[in-house]
Amino acid sequence: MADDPENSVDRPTDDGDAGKPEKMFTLKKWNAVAMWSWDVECDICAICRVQVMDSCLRCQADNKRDVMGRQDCVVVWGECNHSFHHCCMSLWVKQNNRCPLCQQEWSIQRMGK
Amino acid sequence: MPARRSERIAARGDANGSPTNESNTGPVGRVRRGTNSRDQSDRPRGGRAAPRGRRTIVRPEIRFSTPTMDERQRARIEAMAAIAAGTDSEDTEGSAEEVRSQSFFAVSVFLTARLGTPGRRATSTPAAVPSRRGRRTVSISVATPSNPPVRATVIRQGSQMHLTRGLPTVTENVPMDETFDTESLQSNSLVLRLFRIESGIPTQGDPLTITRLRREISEFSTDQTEGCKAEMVGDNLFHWVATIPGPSETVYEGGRFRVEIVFPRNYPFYPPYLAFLTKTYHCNIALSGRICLDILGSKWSPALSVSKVLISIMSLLADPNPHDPMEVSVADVFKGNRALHDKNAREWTKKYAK
Repeated sequence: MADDPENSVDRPTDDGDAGKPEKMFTLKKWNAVAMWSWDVECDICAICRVQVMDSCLRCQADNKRDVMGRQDCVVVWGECNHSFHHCCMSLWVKQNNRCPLCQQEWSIQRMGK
Repeated sequence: MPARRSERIAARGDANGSPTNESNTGPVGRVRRGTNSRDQSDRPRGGRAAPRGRRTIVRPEIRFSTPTMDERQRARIEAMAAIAAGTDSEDTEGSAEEVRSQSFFAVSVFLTARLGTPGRRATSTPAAVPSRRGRRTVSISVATPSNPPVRATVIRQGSQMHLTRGLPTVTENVPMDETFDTESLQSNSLVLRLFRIESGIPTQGDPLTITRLRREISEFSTDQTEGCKAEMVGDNLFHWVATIPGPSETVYEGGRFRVEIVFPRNYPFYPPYLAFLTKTYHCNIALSGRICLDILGSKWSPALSVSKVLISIMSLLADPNPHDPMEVSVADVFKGNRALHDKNAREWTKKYAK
């Protein structure tokens, strides 16, 4: 008769368990934050070894000199679906019109970012 | 002498007359000029200076006689007028006939100068044959603008030589007993002598080149390059010395072959220069150190890197190609007596590559 009122007063949620210790933490509030990114592989420019979506090494160095802001380095795709920075590829095509990776005749399929 | 000059002046005056006169007196004028040329050809035997002047005068006459090229004739007449104006400024005294004679003499001298100059340039440049052919079809008045094609030809030849730099056919004369320490390579570079780099080993370059070279040399600190090692010579990022281990299960096993590497200023758009510092008994590696490898010449690609080039050299050591040799004698032994070739390769590896 004496045990019943003790349980009801101290632990109102636990009806059956009498031996459990008191909880250390209590969840009072929570906020949900979501992040997302493209689930695709990002190519690396085989000439300057930098991600094609980033500026090439030459433009990165030029950005340090210019205070105007970040320069937009354009990406170029060939018919063989290999992609490079347009700055890097234009220097290579001057002397050899071949894809650096597959050695095929280089022709631009698409140019953009 | 003066009588003949007056006759020539009279003939030219007739040629430069109205078109109706040209049509009527054309054949007659030509016949007269023919006779004049014959007389001149007979007389030059006597004097030395005279035949040169007479020969130069004959050619412009022939060219002026063509009636179809009206625009060109006008251009030449304007040039003659300009030269005459120059002579008038110099000599204020004299009759009209004397002024005309002086102007014609100046024309001949001018034409001689134009004729002589391209010939000298043609003989001095190695691209003499195509330039000479080009000049034969081009008229004298266009001689001056013909200089750019000569320069362009030289540039093209230079670029062609650059592309085929990796496939030489002549062995350079380098003393065999010469040894190379890493410290002595700073002042005594084998690559500089083999490839005759005029500007020397570069020490500065594009940020693209510098950043890429730093990344490539940091690759060798890891163990992902099949045992190849590379380090800078005297803290110069464009001058390296690499060590290639002899491939296992080959006659070069156990050897450590040292290779000197010099990068051009515009790497990776042009291949690096490589030379073997260790004497190697291989039919595709010359005694001077040159390497017969197509990716170091015409088959270079900016996607390649130093580690890949060194791995290709390891593959070349494991699989010689006797059909495109750098050392013909080694290739002959390879084809005829393979056992002797392997024996020599092992001995050289033990002797020089330890």
